[in-house]
Amino acid sequence: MRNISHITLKRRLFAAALLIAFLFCILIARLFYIQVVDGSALSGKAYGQWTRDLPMKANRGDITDRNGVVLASSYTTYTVYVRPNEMEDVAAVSSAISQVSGEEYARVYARVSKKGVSEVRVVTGLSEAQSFALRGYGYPGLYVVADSARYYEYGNFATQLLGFVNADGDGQSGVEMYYDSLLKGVDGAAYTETDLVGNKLDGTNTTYLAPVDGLTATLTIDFTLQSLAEKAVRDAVDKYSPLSASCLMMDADTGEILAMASAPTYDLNDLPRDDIAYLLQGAKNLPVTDVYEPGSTFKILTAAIGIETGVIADSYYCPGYRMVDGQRIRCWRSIGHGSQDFAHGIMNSCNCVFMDIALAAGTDTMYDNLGAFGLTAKTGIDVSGEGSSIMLARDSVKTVDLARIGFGQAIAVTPIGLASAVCSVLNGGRLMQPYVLSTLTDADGKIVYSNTPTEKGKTVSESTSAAMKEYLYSVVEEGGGKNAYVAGYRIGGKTGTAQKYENGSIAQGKYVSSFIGFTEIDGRTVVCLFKVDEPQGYVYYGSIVAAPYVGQIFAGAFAAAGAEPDYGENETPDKTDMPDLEGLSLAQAAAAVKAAGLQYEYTGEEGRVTTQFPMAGETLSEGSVVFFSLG
Amino acid sequence: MTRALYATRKKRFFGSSPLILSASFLALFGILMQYCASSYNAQIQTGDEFFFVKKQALAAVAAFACMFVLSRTDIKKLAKFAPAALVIAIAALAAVFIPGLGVERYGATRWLNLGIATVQPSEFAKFALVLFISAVAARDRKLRAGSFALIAFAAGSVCLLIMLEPNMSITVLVALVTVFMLFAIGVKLRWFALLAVPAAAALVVLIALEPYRIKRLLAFLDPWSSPLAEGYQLIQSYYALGSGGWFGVGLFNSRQKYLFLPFAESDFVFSIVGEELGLIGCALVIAVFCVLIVSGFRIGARADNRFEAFFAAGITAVIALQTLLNIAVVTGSIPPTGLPMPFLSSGGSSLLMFMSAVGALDGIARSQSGDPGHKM
Repeated sequence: MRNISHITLKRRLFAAALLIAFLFCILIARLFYIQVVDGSALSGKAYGQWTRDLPMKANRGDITDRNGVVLASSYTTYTVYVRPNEMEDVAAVSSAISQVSGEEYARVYARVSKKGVSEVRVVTGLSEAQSFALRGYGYPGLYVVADSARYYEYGNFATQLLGFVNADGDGQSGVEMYYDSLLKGVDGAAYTETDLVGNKLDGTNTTYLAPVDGLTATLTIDFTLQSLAEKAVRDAVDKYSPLSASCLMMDADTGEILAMASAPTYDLNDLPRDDIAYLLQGAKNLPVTDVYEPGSTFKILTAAIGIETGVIADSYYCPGYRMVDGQRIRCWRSIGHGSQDFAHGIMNSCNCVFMDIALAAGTDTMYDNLGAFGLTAKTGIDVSGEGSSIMLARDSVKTVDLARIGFGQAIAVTPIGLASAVCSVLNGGRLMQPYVLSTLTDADGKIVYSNTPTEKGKTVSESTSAAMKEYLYSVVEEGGGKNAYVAGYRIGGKTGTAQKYENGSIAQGKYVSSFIGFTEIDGRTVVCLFKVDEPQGYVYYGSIVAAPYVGQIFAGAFAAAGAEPDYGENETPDKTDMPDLEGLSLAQAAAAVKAAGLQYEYTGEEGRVTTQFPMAGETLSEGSVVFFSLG
Repeated sequence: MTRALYATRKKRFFGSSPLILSASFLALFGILMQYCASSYNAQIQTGDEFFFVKKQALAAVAAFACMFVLSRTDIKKLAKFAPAALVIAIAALAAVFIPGLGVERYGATRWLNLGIATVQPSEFAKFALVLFISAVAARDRKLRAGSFALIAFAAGSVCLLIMLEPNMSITVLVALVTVFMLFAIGVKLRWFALLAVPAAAALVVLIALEPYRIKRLLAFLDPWSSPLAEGYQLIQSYYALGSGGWFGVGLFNSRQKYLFLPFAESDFVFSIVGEELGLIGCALVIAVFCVLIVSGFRIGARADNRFEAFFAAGITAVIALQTLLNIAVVTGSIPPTGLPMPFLSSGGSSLLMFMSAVGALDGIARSQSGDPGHKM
């Protein structure tokens, strides 16, 4: 072997050692970056994979009516989880779960033996006794966790207003959705330190983060009034099989919603989850979501604007139509109302009178006032899905449009929007913010939030308000609103019958029949808007289809409140029988009805009476409105 | 003369104390880290948390014995066994492909079943190649073309066989070590070029033939883009290192060992070092490696003859390059490869070979005079 040149080799090895030292320095710098610079971020991320958490549901807060009647509550149920990796005997665990829960063994087994997951939710909705029974087995990998479920005390009751929650307890509609974050509380969790596949590590403790229960929501809803409204809506649905029906009741002085009922509807404890279309349809809180042509109920606002702006004439003449810009706009009564003063114009609900008022006021005055009534914006009520009113743009309003707006056409509003505006007409001109949430209470019973009435603006003067009230009382006492009359009590209101438009033209035979009424109950002015969309059959007048239900609701409310009737001299309730009108001419039928002390609505001009409502011989209060059609 | 030699031997039980101390420290520290990294996994899989530690300790006993024997051996004499060693290595590498003898794990056939234990022939082959290159290069004062061709052929054969297992990382290591040795030997630049062309071509062809390698190659650039696939292991390594911070979470306190970090006791043991002992611990371990490497190069630089000089340099290069590559993988600095950390990672054949190599280095050191300036 040959000797080597030490100098050369030494140099080369020194160079190599330097290079290697340099590379080590780079790696130490890299380590510094990962361990020190990025360290806390990385360990934070790593922490997420080191622990497993089982949820501990916070109890969802109750929903109650204004007097504390519980409408929705939570109860504890138990959910069974398994951690497949911890289980020793899958078959035994499955059979235990199956026996205790009553769930089919094969289905349980399929879930329990699921691969590649750390936790499986096997069954839900177990009782406390069942949960104890399961825990008693003491199988490793089997966990029973408390869960919260929702129960609606009255089932099919204020369905759309209350709303419902999904399987995870998240609000999906109504108050449950709008106030979801406050109702649901803050979930807790049980954090367990585990290995990669989810086995609990020895010597580590499970850390519990206690849940914070949700707040109890006390609504402005009055249980009694809501019950009456529900009943009336159901009655209307049974009788007229409409597309929908709804009822809204509100305190005119405060803006508090007292009742909200809609149909179609369903039991909140038994949701039609497999029929999504029906589920969504029935979740619509119609008094808030629906946008419709109000028809004659809108005349309350036109009249109030007329009085407020001083454009009321001494007398009006109705030949059965008005020519506006060369267009013939018909009054609902084709033979006309003849000569009448303003008060009778309201009682008769004469379209010509309100066309004249709207035209006398002019577009700007009308629009300014409708804006003041809050109709150009949403009311901002604390309910999801509020609809927006539809109005023609001010600068594109033609005279014919203005005339129609006067009697509630060529404009669409929500029931809540109209009711709020009418409330202001009745309460002295204060536009109140409508609301459904009264207070929020925490688990200790402490009130943490309290809603108070809010005045959003001024609409009409006190004197206009007082005058309008009297006019509206007379509509029920003497005019077309007689069917809402409850003997011994003062009730005011206005009927509304609007033809529906579809694709820009009048839809034959499709009407929205409504009535907006008010009365004093317990010193509070209660407004009730009852609406029936597309009543089936031949009767569609608001005075017949909607007004009686408002009367029914108010009668029930008076009885519940223990309000004594006060029969004045004219108010003795006389009973009369419905005459048989079949085969009579218009004049004969009208005479027969008048002779019986009744009022009437009719369709058709020629021929003989073919149908009548109600049936001949039915007992009615004198002054009730009946219906017949000629053909 | 005899007195002088005797005096030298008496003075130094080992040829190079820093070398032996650092290597022994690393081997023992490795056993400790085996426990830290594998106790949970071992408990789960075998019911004995010391399962992997025991295996490693048993291998360590053999490894220390081999080291001791080789440190007392006249390493010069190994030169004439070089061809035989290479033939054995190549035969063993080839035997891996014989059904019944070869053992397949993780989709690669890298192990030989010897009945009592499985060994990785590549662990032996890389040192056998170093031995062979040293012996061939030592024949010439200036490397002749024939010798160069022989070296290239031997290295190429070893690389090819390891590649076929497949084991990309050891292949790259062997290639780098060969290049390093040719540099130490003093090969002309244009001969390097002669090697570089086919090597580069082979690399391109391989990547084209097995496109999964490209995916694996690029995964290290952004492991978060495939956190459950290619990027998983690197992310877990980052979690371990990142949790360690400056000083670590303390010995035995690793969280990543709870099955989160795959191969925690083997290729990724350095991540556990980083987690439990922090940046300081990592730097200290690297410092010990540096002591070992510098000692190795010093022994090479002081060698009496070309063979021992090249052999010492080659052994040290294997240790240094493999350590660098491993840490680079663990820190996501280069594409991930399955390369164990010398001394620290689990694996009996690896530890045995590295300790034997250290013994050989020490053998060379013991034959040198104490005074580097003095020539015998």
